Amino acid sequence: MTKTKKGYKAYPLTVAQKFHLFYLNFCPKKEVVNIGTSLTIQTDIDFALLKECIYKGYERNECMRLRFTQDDDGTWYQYVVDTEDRGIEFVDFSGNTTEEAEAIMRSWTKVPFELSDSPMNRIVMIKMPDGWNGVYMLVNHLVMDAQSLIAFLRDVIEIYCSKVFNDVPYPKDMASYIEQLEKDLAYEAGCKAKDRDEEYFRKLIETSEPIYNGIDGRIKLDMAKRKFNDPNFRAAHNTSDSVDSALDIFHLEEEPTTRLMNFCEKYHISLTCLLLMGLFTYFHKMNNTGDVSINTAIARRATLKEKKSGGTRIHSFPFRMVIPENKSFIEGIYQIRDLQNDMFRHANFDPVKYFAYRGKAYPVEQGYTYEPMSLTYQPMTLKEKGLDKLGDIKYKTKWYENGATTQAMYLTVMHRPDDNGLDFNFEHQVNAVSREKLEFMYYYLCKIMFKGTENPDLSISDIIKLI
Amino acid sequence: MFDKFVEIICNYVEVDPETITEDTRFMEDMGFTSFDFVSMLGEVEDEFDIEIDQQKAINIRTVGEAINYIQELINEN
Repeated sequence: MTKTKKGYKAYPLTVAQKFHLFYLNFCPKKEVVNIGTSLTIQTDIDFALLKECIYKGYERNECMRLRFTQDDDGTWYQYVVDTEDRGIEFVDFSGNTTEEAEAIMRSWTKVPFELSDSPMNRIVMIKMPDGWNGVYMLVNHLVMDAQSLIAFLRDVIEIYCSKVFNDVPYPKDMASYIEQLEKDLAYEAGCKAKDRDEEYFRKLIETSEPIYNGIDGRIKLDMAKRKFNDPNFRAAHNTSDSVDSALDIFHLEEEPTTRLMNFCEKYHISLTCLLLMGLFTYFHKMNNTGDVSINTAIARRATLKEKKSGGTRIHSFPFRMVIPENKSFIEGIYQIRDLQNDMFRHANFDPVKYFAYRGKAYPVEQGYTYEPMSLTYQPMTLKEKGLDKLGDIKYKTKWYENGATTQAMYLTVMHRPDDNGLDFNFEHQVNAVSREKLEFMYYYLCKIMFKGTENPDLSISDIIKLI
Repeated sequence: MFDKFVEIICNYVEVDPETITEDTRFMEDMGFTSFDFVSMLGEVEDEFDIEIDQQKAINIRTVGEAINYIQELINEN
């Protein structure tokens, strides 16, 4: 029977949403699911017009009007309201320094959303010091991921540009969130594709038990072996009791970034594969094993409808790389690419079920894991469309940390929109991984990637010796 | 076949179908990601009732190469 809430059709949560809800339930800091960002342009903005464009954006993007509601039995549902007519805030920071303004926006990012029947986003038009103007945007990860947030901002900018510049066309329609939601829920209810995906992951898990690799070697694994008095124990306790987090960003300049991208183009591989190979070699060097597992996020947006429908679609799965050290750097990348392509075909599978199945196959105490970190590569920037209409006008984006994470270390690699260099964003639990360890890792990761891309036929063992 | 394939391509990337030729490259010219490409292969399999060998498909760079490969598989059926 169809459920309705507040007069709207109500839908169950998708597995991607349930995944966020799962860790939200036991995380003491509810802001852990907040994503905060700002986009500013170095020019005057017609704020009244911008406000109109933001409302238009709400109208065109269903997920921006999403609400959650809970049944008496505790089950969460979602529904999309018809209109969003809240006032759009405006804050003038021109009397502040940039640092002060950013500190205030960081504090906004740490305010959790009320989950029941409330808006899941906050947009503030901002006037920054030194002539920068734009918007700050906060969203709940249950309704958006970074890619859909960028798609929404792009939509608003394109609408604004179409009204300001005569030669800029009005953007094409966005896609329906509800249509994609119904498609996802139909898959989850059961189908042949789901059976195939389950079979794929079941076989993958049953291959053999993974092994934990630490950022600084085998210390945590050895501790676990001692604790359980088991020399063959393969998992480790990776996180800290405190979820307090920091965001450390390392910048790779445009020229070296171009060299990496050219390598990817020449060998027809994605940057994710190169990053995974770099991380594999780093952990191999530090732990002396060619069996490395890392959590990878799959955005699950291939069709235009998926790319333009908003929502949160990320599924994260452990990505296990077992590569002999006599293989060359490029052969290792090809092996990673093939495994990644296989996984892409089955990425609709429920990650929670994956971990439940693995937990049964290899029972370890709760909190013990094989993956020291997670990796996401975010290829989408605002530069491709939307802001390219601004010509020489400068603009910048900034992401604000919410101050909490349930993972020890989460690396997001993204292109800087202003020069297309790469930013390595390490969000990490302060008590689990220090900035010094991250600096060390980033230094060697870059060394490995450049040594490998300059000498793709060098063996993995030779690269480890040479760096 | 060409028109049908272009129609499928346009489900994945924002590109003017008029500009697509046999020489158009998926990643460099149309901005396909590897996830887009792998997902598109699934749709191509359903549309043309063929089974694609992923190892062969990985080396495809242009629309023309893709069409030749699909035609080859259709002929084998």
